[in-house]
Amino acid sequence: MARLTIPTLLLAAILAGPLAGCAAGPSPDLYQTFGGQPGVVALVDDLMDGMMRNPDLHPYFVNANRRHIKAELAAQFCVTLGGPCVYKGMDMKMAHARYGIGDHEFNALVEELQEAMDRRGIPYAAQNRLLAMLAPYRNDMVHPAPPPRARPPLTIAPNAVRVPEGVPEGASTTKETPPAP
Amino acid sequence: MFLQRFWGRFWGRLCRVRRARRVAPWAGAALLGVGLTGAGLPARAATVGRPEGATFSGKLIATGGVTQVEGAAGGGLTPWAVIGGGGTREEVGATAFFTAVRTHDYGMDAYGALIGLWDRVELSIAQDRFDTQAIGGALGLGKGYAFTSTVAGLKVRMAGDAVYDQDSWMPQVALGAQYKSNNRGALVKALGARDDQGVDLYASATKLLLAQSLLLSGTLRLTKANQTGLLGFGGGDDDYHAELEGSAALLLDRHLVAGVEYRMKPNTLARANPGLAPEDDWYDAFVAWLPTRNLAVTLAYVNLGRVVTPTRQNAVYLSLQAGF
Repeated sequence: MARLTIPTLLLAAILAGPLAGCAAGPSPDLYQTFGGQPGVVALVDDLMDGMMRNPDLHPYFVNANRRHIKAELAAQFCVTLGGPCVYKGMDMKMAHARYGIGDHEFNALVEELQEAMDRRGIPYAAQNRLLAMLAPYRNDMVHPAPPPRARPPLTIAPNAVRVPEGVPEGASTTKETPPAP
Repeated sequence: MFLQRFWGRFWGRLCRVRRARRVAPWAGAALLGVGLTGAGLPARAATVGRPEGATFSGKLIATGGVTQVEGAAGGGLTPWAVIGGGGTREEVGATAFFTAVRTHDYGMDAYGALIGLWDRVELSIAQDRFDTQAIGGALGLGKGYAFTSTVAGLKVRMAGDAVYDQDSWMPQVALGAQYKSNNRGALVKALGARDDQGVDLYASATKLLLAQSLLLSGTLRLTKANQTGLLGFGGGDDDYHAELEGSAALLLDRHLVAGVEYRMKPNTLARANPGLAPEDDWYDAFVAWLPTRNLAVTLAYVNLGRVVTPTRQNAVYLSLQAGF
């Protein structure tokens, strides 16, 4: 029993700090740690700049409406942190369904967010509180299998269209017939 | 007749106008496409997706753990449920490690490598060399007499994700096996062990409490091994013993982890051979520094308890890991 004491004490010391210090979940003080609305907007600006520099993420954003995405991200982070905002944007699953996003790309985004938070001087423990709340979105955003096509291919059974006899081949596609008066 | 012709002309003109209007954006898109391709951007701009070629090292830094003495990904002494290497669910990763443990009386070196397949399966191989140094001379084995244990490991992630399941208490759970073979069969049997080879079976559960920056891991191991197999298998009995192992680590920084570990061990060899000191549980306190996603350096203080002789062995543990 005596030999258990040292590790038990060490364990208690390690557990006591974080469990007593901060609770999980959104809270106004966490929002203030991130600098309120100006802080969140600046963070999202930094994040988008970082993502555009990241070769893994650049293709996903280069042709996107980045101003809109930044506004949606700022609203979402604000709500997640416990700020006085409302997120009215698209459901995360809907917003990402047509992109083939893998774990690699998702983790690249997480690291860019960590870089941006470091640049904004947000303490590591506060960073992890935000990341813990965002982590469950991975299941909505990542498609380990190839993503479904944006539009399913149009499939018509070969015998679905019957061409009347006497119509020359290719006539139906080339000639535009004016409607009868 | 006239009316029909008039209609035909009128309609034809309208269609031309329409067609002309319809053509304009397409021509624009084609030009834009040519322009973008010319500017060095990806040619397949129509859909965005994962690169078709293989990618590597997509895991978040430190989430593949370091390597424990028997070669499995985990802490220093105990395996974790994580799959080693930097590969995510669509990738393959690998690491190699070298660990040196030095006590006042003994030295142990371990080295090996593992591959992680699709964040699902981990295959590892490692060799532990236990150098008795001066104690070997005192016991009549010869100074520097060494035992070598070769370990082949398999680990499979069964459920959960230690990092991303932050909205539930579900840990990442893995089952593993380690086949161990000792090169000094005759001697360990003479010391009282029943066998020079054996298989450990274990189940690990690992959970990152990210909001608290805390990692917890527990392992239940079924084993017959004496001193992890360095002194053979079995002794007073030839049964599997269930032993608990645990780790608690605090993420101090993205590149720095500090924690403690505890590993219980069976004490069967001393029951077969009263001349040997009882086998004690191991515990350690460690700091792991991961400067990049490819490198890890772990420094620890380890208490190995009594090993063969009645002296308690306090050890310095240094481990290097490199991989992708």
